[in-house]
Amino acid sequence: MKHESNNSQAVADRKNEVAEAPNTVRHAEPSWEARKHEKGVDVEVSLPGVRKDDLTLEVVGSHLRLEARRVAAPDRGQLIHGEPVPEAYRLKLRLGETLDGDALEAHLADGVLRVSIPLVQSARPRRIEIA
Amino acid sequence: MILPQYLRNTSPWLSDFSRLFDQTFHRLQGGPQDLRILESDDDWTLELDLPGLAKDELDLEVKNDVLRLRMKADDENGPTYTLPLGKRVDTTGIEAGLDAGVLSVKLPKAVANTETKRIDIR
Repeated sequence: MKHESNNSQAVADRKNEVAEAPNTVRHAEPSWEARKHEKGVDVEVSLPGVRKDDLTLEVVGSHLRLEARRVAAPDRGQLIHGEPVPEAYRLKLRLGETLDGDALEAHLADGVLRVSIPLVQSARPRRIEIA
Repeated sequence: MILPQYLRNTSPWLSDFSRLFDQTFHRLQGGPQDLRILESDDDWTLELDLPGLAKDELDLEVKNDVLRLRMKADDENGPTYTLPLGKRVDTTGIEAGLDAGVLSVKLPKAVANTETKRIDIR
C-alpha cells in the first residue's frame, strides 16, 4: 500500500517536472542596466510582477544567474489589447574577474532588483600612506 | 531608476478608449507599449508594468469620465497619461492596486440603460 502511494507520488513529481520544463514556460530576458563605480558594480534589473519568494539569484562560477517567476495574475478575463506578459524571467550575466561574487548584495522592491557586486579586495583602489 | 522608454516622455495614452471598445480591437498606436487591457463579463482591467514605482509615486484620478495617471518624478514633471473612458465605464466603482511594480486598474462596466421609457404626449 505504502509502495503504491510512493509510486503515485513519483508520478505526480514527474508531472510537475513536465509542467515546469523550460520549454513550457514563456521566459523573457528582463531589461537591465549596470553602473560601474569605484567600489564595484551596481546592476538594476527590471522585474515587474516578481515577488521575493519567486526569485532565485545565484553565482555559478563566474556567472550571475537569475530566475524569476511573475505572480500569476488572477483571471481577469480575455486580453483584448497588448502583449501577453512573460511567465518568467531569466538572465545570465558574466562577472568580471575583479568582482567578488561571494560578497554581492541584492534587494528587490517594487519590481526592481538592485544587485551590488563589490570589487575583490585586490582590485579596490588603495590609498598608500606616505611614511 | 529604470524607466521604460515610453514612460520617459509625456504622451497621450490611448487616444480614445471608447472607440477602442467599438472597434474590433486592432492594434492601437500611441499608447504605452506595455499596457494590457483585459475584458471579462463585468469589467475591464488595465494593467501596466511600472517597475521601480511605489504607490506614493503614482497619482490616479478620474474626472469628467477621463482617467488620469501621473507618475510623480523627482522634478514634479513626470509623465502623465490620460484615458477618456466614455460612458461605458462605471467611474464610481473604479479600483486600483499596485503589486510588485504592476499597476492594475479595474473599470467596472456601466450597466446600459436599456429600459424603454414611455413619454407622454400632452
